[in-house]
Amino acid sequence: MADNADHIDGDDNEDVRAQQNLIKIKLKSSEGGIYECGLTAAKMSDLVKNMVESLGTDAVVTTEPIILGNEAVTDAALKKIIEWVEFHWDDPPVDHDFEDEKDRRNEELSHWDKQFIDVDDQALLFDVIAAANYMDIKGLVEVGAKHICSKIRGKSCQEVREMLKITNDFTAEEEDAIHKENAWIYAKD
Amino acid sequence: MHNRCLKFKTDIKLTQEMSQNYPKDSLDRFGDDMCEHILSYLTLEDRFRCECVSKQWRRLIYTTQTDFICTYSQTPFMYNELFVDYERIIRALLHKCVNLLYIEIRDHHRKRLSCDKIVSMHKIIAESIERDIYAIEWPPMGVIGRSLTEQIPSAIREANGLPLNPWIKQHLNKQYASVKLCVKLCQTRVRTGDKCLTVRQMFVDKNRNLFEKYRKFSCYFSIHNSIEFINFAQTYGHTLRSIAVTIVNLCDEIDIKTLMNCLSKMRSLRDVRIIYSDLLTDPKAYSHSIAYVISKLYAVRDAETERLRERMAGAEVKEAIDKFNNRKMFHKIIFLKITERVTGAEARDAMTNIFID
Repeated sequence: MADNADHIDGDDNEDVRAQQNLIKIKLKSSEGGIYECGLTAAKMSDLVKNMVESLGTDAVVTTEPIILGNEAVTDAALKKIIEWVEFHWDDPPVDHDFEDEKDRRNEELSHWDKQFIDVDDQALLFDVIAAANYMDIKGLVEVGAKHICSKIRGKSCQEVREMLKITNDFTAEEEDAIHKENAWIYAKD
Repeated sequence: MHNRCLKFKTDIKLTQEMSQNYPKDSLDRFGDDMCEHILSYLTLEDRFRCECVSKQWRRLIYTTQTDFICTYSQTPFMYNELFVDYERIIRALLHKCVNLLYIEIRDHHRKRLSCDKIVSMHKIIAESIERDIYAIEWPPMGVIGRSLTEQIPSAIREANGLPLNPWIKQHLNKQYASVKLCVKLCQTRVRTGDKCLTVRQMFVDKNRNLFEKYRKFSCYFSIHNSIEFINFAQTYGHTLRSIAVTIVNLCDEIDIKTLMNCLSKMRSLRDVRIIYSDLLTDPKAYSHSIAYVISKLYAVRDAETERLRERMAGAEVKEAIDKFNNRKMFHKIIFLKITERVTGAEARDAMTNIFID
């Protein structure tokens, strides 16, 4: 029996979470910029969470900033990420025991998320996604992935390639063959 | 549980090989894991359309497609196409989507799938038996029943129970024979029209233990299949996790008791849904039987039953259902959906009876 699902972890308690978020920790981008972020918010990143847990909260608050050494974590990307976690830190936790995974996948992005992720600079968008992946923030990776997929929707291969700057490494013959296989899907257009 | 297909891919590990060679604003910069994860949010239609974007995409674009739910509301285009060229689509699907586990085709218009089409689509799927299809849902058999009714009305009316007209039987047998080829099948939802052939056709014969992995079942229960249901309960009762039973009319209290008795013996059940169909004459007669099954299901957990009763007393039906549905602490979940014809007050009454009884 899975009665243990009712256990209350200190982190799950709303008040504790709110209080902890008043504590600020410092995050350092790969470009050297240092940014402050609420503790609870920062712990949405599993990478940061593990670091905080292994170092101890006090150590993290008083000492050096946490260094995020991946090249995708640029100043701009880190700023975006902090903006996202500071908005989302009090989201209700995802309960993986309930089978709502599929619903969540199909769910549309919230208005806020849409506006947040819809950046003109594609390099920055990819940086944010790659950095979120590096920092292990699943929710934000999902937002990025959904955003890209919503932009792909209904577009032709060539349009997708141009938009996402993907190199076509098929020969003309290979591409033709695939087109033929899937010809029925283009019948709509 | 049954649907390993739906679990979140938690192991997206960072793609260290993010190469300097790729421009930062190109999606090519992402490694396979990340790319696959991003593409996993595409609709099936977009996957087909974008297969030839690049070799990386071709390799990854179908791997995360685990289900094919073809309904008019979800995929109007594919749904329409499916009836024009079902063979090509089903084959393409099975060929390209190597991780496909779940297939569902619903025929809302109730006209477009002929019996022959269903049988032959099913054959194609059954041929890919090694592919571990985990669940299949076909349109209500009522469709077949109905179109057949038009063709051979007397046959259906005569056939009050079995044996049916040989022609119908032949077709149904074909369909279920191909189900039997799917040895890893763990879930079906096949609805029968008035004759409720499902249980008998699928489960009552030499192939008793064929579906070892069978975990989830939903069916109609009527006076015509209560015997089959008993057999089914005996064979699969110890492994079945989830069952949804829609009680159709023509059931008297003894039939309902049979059903409840079977359910109460299924020891592995975690999720029980009992759905009243409409045309129900006396909801209270049912509530009494259902009280019986609840008392059986909870027989080993008296303390919890007490808590349950406390919880339920005086609660609104809706609220009660929600609570049932959301509490993890209960091993068994009962979900009663009381459809039209039973007013809210009657329903509440029925629910109260169940828990005070």
